[in-house]
Amino acid sequence: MQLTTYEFKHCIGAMFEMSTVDARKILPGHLHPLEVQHTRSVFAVLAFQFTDSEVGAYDEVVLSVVTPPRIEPGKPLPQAAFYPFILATSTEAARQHAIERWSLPHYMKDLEFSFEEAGGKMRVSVLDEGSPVLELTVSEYSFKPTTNPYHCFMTDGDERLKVNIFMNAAHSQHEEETGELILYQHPMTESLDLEEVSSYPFREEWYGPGIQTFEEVERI
Amino acid sequence: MENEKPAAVLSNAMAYDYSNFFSASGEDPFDLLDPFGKWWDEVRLKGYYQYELPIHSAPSTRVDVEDTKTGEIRRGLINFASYNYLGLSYRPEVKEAIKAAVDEYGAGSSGSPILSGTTALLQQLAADVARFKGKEAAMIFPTGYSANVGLIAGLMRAGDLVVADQYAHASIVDGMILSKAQSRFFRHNRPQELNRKLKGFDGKKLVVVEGVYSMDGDLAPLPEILEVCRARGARILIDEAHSTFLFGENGRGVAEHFGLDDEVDIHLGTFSKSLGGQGGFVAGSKALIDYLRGFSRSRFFSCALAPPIVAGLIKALELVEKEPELRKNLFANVEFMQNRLRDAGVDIGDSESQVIPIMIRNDETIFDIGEQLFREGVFINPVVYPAVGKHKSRFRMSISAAHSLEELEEGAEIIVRVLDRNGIIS
Repeated sequence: MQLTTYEFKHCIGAMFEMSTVDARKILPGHLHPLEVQHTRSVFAVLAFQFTDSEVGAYDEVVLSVVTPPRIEPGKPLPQAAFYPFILATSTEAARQHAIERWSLPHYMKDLEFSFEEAGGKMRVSVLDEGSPVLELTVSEYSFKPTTNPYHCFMTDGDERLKVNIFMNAAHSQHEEETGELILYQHPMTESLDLEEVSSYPFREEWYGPGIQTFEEVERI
Repeated sequence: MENEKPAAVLSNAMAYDYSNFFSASGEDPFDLLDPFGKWWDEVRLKGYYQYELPIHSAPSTRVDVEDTKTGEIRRGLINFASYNYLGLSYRPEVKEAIKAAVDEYGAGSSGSPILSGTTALLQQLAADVARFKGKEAAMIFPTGYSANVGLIAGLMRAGDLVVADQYAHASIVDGMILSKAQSRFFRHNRPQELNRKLKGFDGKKLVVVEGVYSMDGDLAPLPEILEVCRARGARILIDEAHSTFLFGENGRGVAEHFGLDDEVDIHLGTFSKSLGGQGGFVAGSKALIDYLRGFSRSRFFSCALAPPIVAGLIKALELVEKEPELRKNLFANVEFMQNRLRDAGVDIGDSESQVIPIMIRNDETIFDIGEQLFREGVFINPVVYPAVGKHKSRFRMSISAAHSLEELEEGAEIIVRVLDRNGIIS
């Protein structure tokens, strides 16, 4: 099997409640949202600071709906599964690579990222020609070296795709609700009812530095 | 249909929890059984065996518990796990009342309360509860769980709105799901957040809070919550499972404690904790109870509470009213233990009640610490995700009026020693 690796300095992420009605509109028909509470699904925001890859260094933000994973006998049970409905990167090369290799849907402009770490918190600001797209703040808890498997679902026309992703890094996660998300009206957030997305995360995660590994894409 | 497929691989079983096995896509409903079984076999020995330990004695202040890892029975453990807050379950008067009812009625009620299961005892209990709570009427359910499910699903409908505290008990959540009403949750104990969730909704609204929250031991800020409900035209239900018969001048609960007994629309409580029995109740206006009689499926599609249990509850309630010193003893014990633990540097969160969370905040090491406590003489339950947030793990301590000061000191000494040894105490 051919593996694709990406080295990163930081990966921060958080999970927020969103309306299940919106989650179902975003997901393709064969996927269902994972509900954290009745009628409330999970919106995940991830931001990466990649330091090395086939397309060099770049930054990336991923907006996803969390779904149930697929059970695959003999294969690692994932920590979570998700359907990324929009991504954005800081370079065109990274964007083209992700579209071609992984069929991941992208906002077709380079965005500006800033990662500011202070007082045990990391704040990521994403801007589109100076206008804010989102701001995500995540706080650290206690780091432990881990290798966590994930399922990522994609579509390419009518094709249903999946790829296994492994995150190998020091990992911190907690549910202290100390983080924050500010979403702005922008093409990247247009499929969300911003009023229905909670502004505080119910889970915060922080990886880094480490390696993200993709296996090959499978048709499901 | 036999499942011959190999299970999914778990590289580190303790890195997974129940939520990882909640849902998966596939074609066979049994697909998750095998990986779950493999996970369970591994984590059980690593700590999860501490759940469902068989108890070989009454749930009194000391208890005999079977160590399912070693097979031995550990005797005389100081019991901080049972919800027997007033020590009533094993009072001689309660046991005598139960025995008398066994002789008269036998074991079960043998019928739904709507058909043949309503005994004279059950009617008396309902009347006694209504009188105690100062309400027009009360309805008895076979469990506290079914009381919440039956009340919420019996009253609310599709198109209505139910807003509950984010820490609401599973029975409240399940009632919301069954009702098909829109469900929202507001950030724990934040009235401004409740206001935001209610704003802009024109239909029927019900707000649900708890008197004492069962994992944190804190109280709902009822005056502020009620103010929001009135401003937004919402009815309010208070679930006093862990507070009725305890709080307030007469033991009516947290609503009485805040002087808001008559302002709260619906009062719910359980008999399995402070009264040491089983069952639950809803108390309110006669009109409400009459309506629920026709629409609370969890009540009339179950057998009525067994007569011996009802007899025990009637006697236990009588003792609550006759012996207000039980509540005084309880809160004196609570004050002692909270001070004792805080002074020793133990993090007990925001507890304001007989429920004291001993915060560990590490979902893996808590099991090792729990095993040490168990082996050194304390029976107390570890609580981890998903029952509480990730790394918000804790030992849930229950104080009883029946605990002696010597037992409390002995238990505290063991807990402080073990926590200190494991680097938990600040």
